[in-house]
Amino acid sequence: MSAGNVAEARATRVAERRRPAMSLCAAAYPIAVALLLASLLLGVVIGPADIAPADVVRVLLHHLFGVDLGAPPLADTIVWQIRLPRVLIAGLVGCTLAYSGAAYQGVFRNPLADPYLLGVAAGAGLAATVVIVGPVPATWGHVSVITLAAFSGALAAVFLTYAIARAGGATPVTTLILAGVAVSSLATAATSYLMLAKQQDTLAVLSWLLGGFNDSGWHEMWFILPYTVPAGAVIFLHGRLLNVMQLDEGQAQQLGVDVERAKLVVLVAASLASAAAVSVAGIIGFVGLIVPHVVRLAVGPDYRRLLPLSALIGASFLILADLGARTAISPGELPVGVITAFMGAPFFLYLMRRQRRAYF
Amino acid sequence: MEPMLQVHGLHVSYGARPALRGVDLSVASGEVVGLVGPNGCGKTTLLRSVTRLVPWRAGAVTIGGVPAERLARRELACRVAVVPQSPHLPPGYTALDIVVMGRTPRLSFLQQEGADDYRVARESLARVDALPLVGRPVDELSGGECQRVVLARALAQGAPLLLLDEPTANLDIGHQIAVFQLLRELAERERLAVLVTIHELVLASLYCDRVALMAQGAIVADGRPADVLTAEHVASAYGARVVVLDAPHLPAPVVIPYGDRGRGA
Amino acid sequence: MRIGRLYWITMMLVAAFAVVATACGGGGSKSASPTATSAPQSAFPLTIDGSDGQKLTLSQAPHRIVSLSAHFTDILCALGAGDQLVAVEKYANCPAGGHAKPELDAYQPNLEAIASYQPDLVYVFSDTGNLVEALRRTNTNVLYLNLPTSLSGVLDQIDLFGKLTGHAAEAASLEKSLKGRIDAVTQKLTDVTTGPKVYHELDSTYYSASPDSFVGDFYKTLKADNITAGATDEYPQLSAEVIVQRNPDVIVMADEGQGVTADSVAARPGWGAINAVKNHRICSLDPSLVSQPGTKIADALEALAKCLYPDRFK
Repeated sequence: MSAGNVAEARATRVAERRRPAMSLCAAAYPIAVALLLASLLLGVVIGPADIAPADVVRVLLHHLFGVDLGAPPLADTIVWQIRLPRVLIAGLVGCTLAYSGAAYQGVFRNPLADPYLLGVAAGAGLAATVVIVGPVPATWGHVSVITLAAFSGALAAVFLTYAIARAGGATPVTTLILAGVAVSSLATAATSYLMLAKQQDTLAVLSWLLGGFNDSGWHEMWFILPYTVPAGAVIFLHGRLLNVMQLDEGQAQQLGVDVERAKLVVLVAASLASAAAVSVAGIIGFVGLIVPHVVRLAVGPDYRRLLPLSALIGASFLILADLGARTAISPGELPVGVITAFMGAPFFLYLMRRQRRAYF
Repeated sequence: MEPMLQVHGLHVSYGARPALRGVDLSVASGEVVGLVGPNGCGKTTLLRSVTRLVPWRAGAVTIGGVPAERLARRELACRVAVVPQSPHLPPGYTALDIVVMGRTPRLSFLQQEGADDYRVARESLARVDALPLVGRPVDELSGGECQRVVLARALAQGAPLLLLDEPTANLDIGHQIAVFQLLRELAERERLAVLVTIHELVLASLYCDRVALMAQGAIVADGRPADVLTAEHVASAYGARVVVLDAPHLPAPVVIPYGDRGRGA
Repeated sequence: MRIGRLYWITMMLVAAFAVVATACGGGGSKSASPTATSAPQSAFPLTIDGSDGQKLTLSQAPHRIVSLSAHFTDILCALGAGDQLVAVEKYANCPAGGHAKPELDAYQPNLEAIASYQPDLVYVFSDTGNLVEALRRTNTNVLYLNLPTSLSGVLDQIDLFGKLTGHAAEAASLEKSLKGRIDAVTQKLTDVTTGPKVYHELDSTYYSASPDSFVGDFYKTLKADNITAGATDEYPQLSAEVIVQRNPDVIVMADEGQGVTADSVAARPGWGAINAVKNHRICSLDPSLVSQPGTKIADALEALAKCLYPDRFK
């Protein structure tokens, strides 16, 4: 073999090793689904209130199939009314933040994009703070005023960002990012001021901002479901177009893609879904930014795979993080954002060192 | 027979700066037209205007007899395929992934690429002599290999009008010849209309049916290579001293730099 | 007489020496806690151990006090020492009757603003932004004492503040009255072995008070079983399912200002199963009664006693 051939062979072997293994791609979906089911199971069985797994199963069978197996009523209340909705909501929020983060990264072609880029988090935070600090009551019967306010605030911030960035029929992505940063900074500054101005409410505001699922019940789930599921469907259907849009916008347009419309539809869907997630769960960082990167390192940049897999992995991730949040310092609660950072950062660094390819 | 591409009196400005001043150009099916001119004369702008990436202030562009502004994005992409200059290719995608994106104009929103589309993509890669690159991530390819991948993508689009912006900029001479031979084949056998901007005037002489010389946003000469690529035209457009060589076996006279360092001089 | 003159000179020298010795050796007594001497006026010079380990010695009662703690203001006003204050932090002020004092921000203290009052004593309960060091560098007397975490701690502080301001008599009588009311409550509970399980809610996101906190001390005094037992923080956030599992008999809401009502508590997911909700034993407590460890401890204890033992306290 000549020296050139040897070098070429070596280069090919290196290339083969660095490409995501075909077997991993094929197994990705079953692994992700299995992980989600395992997380759901762990989340429902483990908790700070000591409930025997047998009782948990009894409660679930009772409610799902009407079979009465004599589960203690306290276990029934805790598992069915507190733990199960909490786990499901954590999963929905994790799923939403992850696929929205992937969608934002695809539209902006920027690895630092996350669902809060256009102001969703800052707007929600400000609105929630205004309600907490102001004379408005926190709940009207079953309806949480804070949740509704946060949702409106999030959407208002995104609308403002979009309005600022729009210049004659097109919204260049760099301008959108800058406008989003400006709107977010403004809202965050206002939130900080309000938070410190009325000190007896500082704890309540901080609690909301740090995020958590401690007060989640079935109502919160019916609130986010109508946003998460349709938005997810719309975004997943744009997978192929998002791939084409990874070429620059000029090339995508020359290939027949209506880039402005695709951007608008995807961003609106992702913003709506993230706004719903944030208004229910507070501002949980890290999931929307890192989960898509982890999935990308494992299965490559194709958005038709990246979006649904991010959704599945994001759900598992947040369910497990919430499990940590409620058991780590039992009977106390830790903010779930702390756990996501502790869990996610080392794992992501490890993956980055193994795979040297950059995907942007 | 009406030309595939017709540009009439096209005026384009970037803000206050005019880029195209009343450009007239036509490209017929089965013809390879070379667009030459010094840097900044408007060649790329002309190509971008045809695909409506750049709006025009006045003038008309007709593609296959239909005014370009009446065509929807997807219809336009079905008729015009573009090979841009140094396009960005996102890392992680394989060459095949990129080429099959050329089928995008033919797919409706919910459709995914099918076996047929992948077959066309492989064939296109084979035609540009890049089939071994099929599974390679594009971030590992050389500039020349990337250029061929993008050319394959344009071929996969299957459009009757092909616009190329300096497609041989990064290619070695073997591949330069191969690309232009391919363009001639596409024009003669498949009756594509080909408009290609070139820097290498030799290639323009050897492979183009017609040459249009641009300077400062307007076409200053349009015709056979022998009539356009004369020493006077080149000197006035490029400000360069050249020599025109003719040889019996060449299809047209070729322009080469004058070269102050002559043998024995 | 010659012997007589020598005797007088010796006596005078001894007397002079005694006076000088008393004057020099009397300051800087090293007692660990400020113990009361026989007469209130000789409380000075007074040495107090600060919570940061530094000692503060005062030679006389301060008359230009800046208070950066609501409870300190509260106690001083109750002792009639209100006119010794020149500025107070903005969440407490002497009740109308005394003129309202200029206000400062205790959570974001401004050194210049404080210094402009030329205080001879500044009281702080926490060292935000290195304020204590900055004050000491300007040679200002700083009394840095943490907030008391028990009822007896409050009484001790009342005693100390009385001596500090030269109002020891008023302090003694205030202590006596508060202690009397506290004893009146605890005496009615001598036969109680374990009181009801109680959940004290500070905030609508389930922040509560652990038994080691100031608020927790009320429940300890009332022999109630605080469900926050086992938590690591003084004011931990509890998990919803823990609250439901530990099933408190009484819920005390100290967060009405956030729109929390007995109905909204009952509507929380899963809370309908809690004894306190089923038996309608949800009391609301004015947060200001337990928010500062001051003169309202007896009011607070009585209110909580009524809430926890409605049959014994009307």
